[in-house]
Amino acid sequence: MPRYIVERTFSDGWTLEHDDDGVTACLRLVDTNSDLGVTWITSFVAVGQRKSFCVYDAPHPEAIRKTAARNSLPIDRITQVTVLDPYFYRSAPITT
Amino acid sequence: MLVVGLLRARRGDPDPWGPLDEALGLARQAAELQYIVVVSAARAEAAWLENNNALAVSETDELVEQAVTSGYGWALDSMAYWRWQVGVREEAVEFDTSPRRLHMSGRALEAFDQWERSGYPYEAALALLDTGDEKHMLEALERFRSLGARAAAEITVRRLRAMGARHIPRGPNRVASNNPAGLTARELEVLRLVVEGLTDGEIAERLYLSRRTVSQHVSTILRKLDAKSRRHVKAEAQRLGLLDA
Repeated sequence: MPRYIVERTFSDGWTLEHDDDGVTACLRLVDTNSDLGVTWITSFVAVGQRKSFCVYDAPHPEAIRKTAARNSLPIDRITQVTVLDPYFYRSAPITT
Repeated sequence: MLVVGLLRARRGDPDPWGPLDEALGLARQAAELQYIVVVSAARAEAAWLENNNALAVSETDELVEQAVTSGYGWALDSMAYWRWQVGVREEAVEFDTSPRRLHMSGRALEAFDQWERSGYPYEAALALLDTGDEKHMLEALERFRSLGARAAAEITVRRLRAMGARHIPRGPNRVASNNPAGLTARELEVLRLVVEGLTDGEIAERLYLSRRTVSQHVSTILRKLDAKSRRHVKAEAQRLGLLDA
């Protein structure tokens, strides 16, 4: 399944509390994603910039757009990526 | 497949060529010139959107001659238009004055009129882009962004910069993060004025836009809120809590 990075900008900011409500919100996002085979791997949030970079496994970009719409999350750009990890440099040749 | 590929290309999403290649394969299998011509026009557009002008030409080369003799109307127009867009100047075969033909003969604003009236917002914005007029191009930029047509928006920004335009609005039309219908900030602005009872023209004056761009925003809002008309919009917006902020 291809891996994608999704860039998003939250013009009004977006807060996730470290409490039960936050947990519920997260799990709801995950559930909605799974309806279309989209898996949220991890996110990197740019400090103080209202922007995030989110890593997903998904069957195709349309699935990401649909689940993002259902979750009310904005999308600036979707890029397909391959994973490059320093500890597996011997496993196979990497071409970009 | 054609639609998926072209959508991806217009949005700037990954892998438009997978579906576009499949579409071409299917069209060739069917061996119907009309399908092949339509797919080739779409592939030429996808090539232009990623700034591969040479590809746009090569995609359509062998077909132009075939299509001329078989006379496939609007699809031939589309193919000829993308070739023209990347700088190919060839013998124009005269069909009726379609918007594409107007556009290619330097009457982009008239082309824009026709596309608008026929309800083709993307093509209308493409026509605005080619007027060479900064004000029109800024409006094209706003329209591309509201349609999610990232690739065309980027091309518009590049051309505006090359013209030396200042005050080019930055960034995609950001979705206001706390609203369920996925409306952008600009769309929320327009929605509030619609709910207040303003006409498209009045909203346009208030926000310094053209009436047509406002109409475009209103259609998008109706679609996103799944509302049948302006009157239903207020109820839907209230239900979703969009008017509270």
